[in-house]
Amino acid sequence: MSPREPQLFAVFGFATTHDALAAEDALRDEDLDAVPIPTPRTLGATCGIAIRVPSEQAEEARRVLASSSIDVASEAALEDV
Amino acid sequence: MSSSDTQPPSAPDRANAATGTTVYLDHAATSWPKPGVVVDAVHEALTKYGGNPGRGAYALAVATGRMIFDSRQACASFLGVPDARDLIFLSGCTEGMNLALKGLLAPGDRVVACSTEHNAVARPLTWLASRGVVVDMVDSDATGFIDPEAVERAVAAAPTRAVVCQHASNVTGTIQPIGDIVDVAHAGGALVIVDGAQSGGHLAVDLSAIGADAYALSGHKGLLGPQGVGLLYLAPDIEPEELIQGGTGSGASELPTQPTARPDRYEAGTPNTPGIAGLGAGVRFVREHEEVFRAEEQRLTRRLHEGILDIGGFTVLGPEPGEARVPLVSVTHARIDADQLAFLLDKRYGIAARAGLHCAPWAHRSVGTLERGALRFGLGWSTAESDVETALRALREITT
Repeated sequence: MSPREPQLFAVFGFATTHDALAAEDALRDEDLDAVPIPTPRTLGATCGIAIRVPSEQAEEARRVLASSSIDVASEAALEDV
Repeated sequence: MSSSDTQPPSAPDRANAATGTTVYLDHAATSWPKPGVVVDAVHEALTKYGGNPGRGAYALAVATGRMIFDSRQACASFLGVPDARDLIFLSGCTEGMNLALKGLLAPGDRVVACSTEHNAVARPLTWLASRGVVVDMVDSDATGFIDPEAVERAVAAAPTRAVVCQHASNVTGTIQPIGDIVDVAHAGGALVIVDGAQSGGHLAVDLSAIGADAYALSGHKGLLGPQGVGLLYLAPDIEPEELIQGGTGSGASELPTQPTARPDRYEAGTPNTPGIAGLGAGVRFVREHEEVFRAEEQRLTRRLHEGILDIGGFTVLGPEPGEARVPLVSVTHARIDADQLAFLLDKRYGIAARAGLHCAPWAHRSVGTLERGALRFGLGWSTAESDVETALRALREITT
């Protein structure tokens, strides 16, 4: 069996759970594959929930979040385990 | 949704076998019974999800966070709050008023308060006065009404940090001209902090239109949530100090300082998840039926008011019949004390009504009932015509 290709994601961190869930709604409204995940420590000072999207959707996700009232506290790239 | 969820339960459904209460007329203290959808929402929070919101990111915790998010959005939409993050979940209106008053006022500040305030305001103000805040009062008229011009004069008399005023009285039912009070206070450079314990659900409350800087609401009265939950709106441009610090699941956990982002700044500690679930369901239920509920509350309140006057021997506090009031009627009797009336209503008729000072001695002093108190009937979403007629019959039998 060949090893699975690692999947790459963009992960967005937020100051509050409210913002994280608002972001999930905003991204899903645009048909992006947003998933709440435990916040990676690399994201720094953010709430316990981060939102992950496939890396190929990262640009669109940034555009959606920038046009909303939601403040993105931090962003990182993440490789699936 | 079943019909039992959407309609007020019939009187037999509301009979409480444990207490013998068949007629509940104390909605001004807390609404009862709660709609089935509220009970279901609390039950679901306790049994189907309920992980600690905002801490873990496993499904049960995210589901709880999602419920709180949705409840906050529902409350914000219902109350005309553009950004739900400005709406804080607390233990109740009392905590909200404490946060607003203690978070905004510092020693040396002056606050103008209305003479009709509940102890949720009177006691924090007394505490603040003992620490150097100057508290000046505006007196109501004999019906409990606060004249905005009197507020304007009080604000003009000296530099004023804030005006604090109720939206509606829990003693007289008087609805204050809160928009006008906000306008004159702002014109004088003062913030406005509003106690909305009796208004939420019973009046159309549009916080964007009212323009107050802080507005606290009870979750368990007209909004039909469980006891132990309430709301505080904070305008985006004010930053009161938080009352408590602690875990929020956000910010830099390794740092000892409280995060500043709303709502987390003001919601340290694990929230009242079942209460918030019930409040969200209650607000949606009220919103769905608000026109019917308010029309019926007003109709039955007027019937009770006029019926009591017809019996004779009673004085009804507050506005005249037909004038605006929230759905409560407080009375005194020429011969029989309010506490005796309440006792007889309970024991002989199974009628729940509240006698005394209603945690509002300032208000009773304002309308001349501090010595004897009053008997208060609070109507709400579940009040039926038969409840009012039963109360009127009982009052007539007891007093004539």
